[in-house]
Amino acid sequence: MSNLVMNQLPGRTFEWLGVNEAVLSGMEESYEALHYKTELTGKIDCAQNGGTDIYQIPGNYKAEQPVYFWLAYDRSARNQIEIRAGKGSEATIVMDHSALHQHGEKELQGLLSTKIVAEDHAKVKLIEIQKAHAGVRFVNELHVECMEGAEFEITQLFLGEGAFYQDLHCDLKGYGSGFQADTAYLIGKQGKLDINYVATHYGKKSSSDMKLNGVLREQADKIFRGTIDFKHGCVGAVGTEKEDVLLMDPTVDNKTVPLILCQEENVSGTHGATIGRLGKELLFYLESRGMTKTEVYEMMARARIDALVKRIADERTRSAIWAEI
Amino acid sequence: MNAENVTEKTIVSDINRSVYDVRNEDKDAYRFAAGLTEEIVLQLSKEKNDPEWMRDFRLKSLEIYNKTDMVEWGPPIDGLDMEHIVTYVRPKDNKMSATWDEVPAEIKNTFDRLGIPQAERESLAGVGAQYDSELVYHNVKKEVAEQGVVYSDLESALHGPYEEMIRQHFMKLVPPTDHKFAALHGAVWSGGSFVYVPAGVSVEIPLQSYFRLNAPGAGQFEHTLIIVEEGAYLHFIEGCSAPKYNVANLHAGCVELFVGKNAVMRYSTIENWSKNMYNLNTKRAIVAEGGKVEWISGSFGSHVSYLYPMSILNGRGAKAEFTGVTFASEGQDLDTGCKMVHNAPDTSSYINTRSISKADGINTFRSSVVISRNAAGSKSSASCESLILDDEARSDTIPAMDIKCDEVDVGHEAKIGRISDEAIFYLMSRGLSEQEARALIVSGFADNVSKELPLEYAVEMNNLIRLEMVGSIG
Repeated sequence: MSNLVMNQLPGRTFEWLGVNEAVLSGMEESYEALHYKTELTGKIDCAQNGGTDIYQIPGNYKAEQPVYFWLAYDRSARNQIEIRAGKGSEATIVMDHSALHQHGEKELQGLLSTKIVAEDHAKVKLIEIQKAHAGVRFVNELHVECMEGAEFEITQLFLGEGAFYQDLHCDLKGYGSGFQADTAYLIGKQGKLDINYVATHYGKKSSSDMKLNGVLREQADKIFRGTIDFKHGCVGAVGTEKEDVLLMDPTVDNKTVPLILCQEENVSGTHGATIGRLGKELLFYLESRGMTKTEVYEMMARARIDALVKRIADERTRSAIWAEI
Repeated sequence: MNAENVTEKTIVSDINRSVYDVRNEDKDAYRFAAGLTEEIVLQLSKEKNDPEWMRDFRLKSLEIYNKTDMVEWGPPIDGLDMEHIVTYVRPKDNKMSATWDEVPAEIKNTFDRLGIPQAERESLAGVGAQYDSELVYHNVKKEVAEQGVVYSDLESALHGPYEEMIRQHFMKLVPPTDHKFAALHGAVWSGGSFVYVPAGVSVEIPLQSYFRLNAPGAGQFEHTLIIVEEGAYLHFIEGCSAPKYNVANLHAGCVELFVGKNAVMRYSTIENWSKNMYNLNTKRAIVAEGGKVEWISGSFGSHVSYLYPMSILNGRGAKAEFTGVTFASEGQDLDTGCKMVHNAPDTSSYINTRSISKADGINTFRSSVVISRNAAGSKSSASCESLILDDEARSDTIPAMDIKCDEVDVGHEAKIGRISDEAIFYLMSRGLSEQEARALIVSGFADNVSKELPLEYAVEMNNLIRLEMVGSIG
């Protein structure tokens, strides 16, 4: 067994807060290869290189159907995937990790490392569904590079009582490159969610936008680190991040650490966070319509997840998520 | 060339900073050897005629200092070598006075230039003036003293009827184990003020302490201990400055505020240390039920700053506000912000900060808001805005929130950006020069602090902003 240190905050802060990194103890020393099923579409090819599965989306190819990855977690396992989106290509990728939830109370560790390179003017949309029961620890590392005019959008959904560790770095290298994250979570019991999103702006007029909506209940423990890092020279870049957290029980623990690091004068960066209970006016209105306070909270919690699912364009994925929740 | 890369820079000569940079020869001053040893701490304790418990406290603090590592976050402090810092400098012929006429002429002239005696006459209820490691002047208006308010230097108070009160409170909020420089402070503290405001007494006009560090290569370690009893009110103003030297100076002061039930304490600081200063200061307040602490902070000086006043809201309904502006220009790395700890139900905190960076100045806003399990009904709101004036400056925002209770309302927002060209164009079309337009916009940007200060101090702050804005057109 060993320790894994990940999700390091790009600008360290007070040690006593315990937010500078995630330290995962008891990690296994070796893992089997993670099995997964894919449903490729059209001209997308897969090759292997030193243990990494590489998927190539040809230049200017616009995939009409999503590329599906169903990842099977029936034991502790790991894998590395690389997706290269050629110039001007467009593709939607669906990664479904809900198998994490399908093996009773079995304890396991899953590790997935994904690299995505979006060449000039490529558009890549990634939809990830992570659902895990207690006893599962899932480490998901995602590193994205966006070249000139390239766009990367991610929709992530975290559900259940497992321990989720999500590291996402998006390097906006090219002029006008863009990154959007639309994330929702519903964590309960003694579930743990540890997210680290880092958008690094190198390219002029690059943009990033992170939106998170979440619900914590029972003894759930969540930390969101979100960083917008404006590097010298990213003239005209714009970055925003916003997290909205609904706390359902007095035993939850929510940490939010939204950073803006800025070495460039001509940029615009904003972040915001709202944490706590529902507004009194909203609560009063709905109670006056005959709902109990508990019903209002349950409805609003569900609405946060539903709102994200409704924004997913792929009908098949939406149906799969509805079935899960 | 791409239009977005084009910037023109107008160079404007610097304004004379002489009022802050006047330095007096300290050849006749009494100085300890540089460095930090048990012998030096014992020598200081003897010099101060410490009670036994204080001497032991200093030695224990030194032990903690030697065992404690420096933090792994924040600006580098490699240029600070304790082996070269003199922990105690006493001006020649020093004897604390209650009239300015008895203060040595050279020192009095320094405080005259800084406007302290004039401010005392016009707008203060009492003044303490520290020069290097010792108080040179301390006075409080008779009518304030008659209300039972105690405002004295801490060392005199240690040898009077308030010794036991001081013993019960001294470094209880900021224990030497808090961090390395809190331990250093515990070992070599010298000077500072003790204020006691009895229950129900409202001190209508502010008290002020001014700290001047004249000696090159020296440290200043004053301790400010303020106790405001139930239902009382106090506004305390702290000012500080030093002439610039080519060697590092160190300021590791400590402020502890005890705010009683339904009492209100306002603590205002205009910090203008010279740009060779390492300002590693610690400030903390604990607030009882229904009480309120208000921090007003303007940070303009220092080479490196670590400064995060903490408010511990320990009683139901306690409140804290932090209003700050930090201006980092060439050669400065200023890491400032605040900490709020909600440790009781229905508490509230409000943070409102502005930071301005120019040349290669680095600004970091760092904060923490912690709401503990027992703080149901608490609210916290934070707003921080940063302005970058050129493409060499840097500005980081590092807030953290740790919420362990569901019945809360926490909001945080931050913005970073530049002065809009449209605003400058508009002001220039009204007859202002570009420099005047920028200075006006920056002054307005910092008005969250200036409007909270007494008029004289707001004027001084705006002068500092204008002074810092010189040469920043680009």
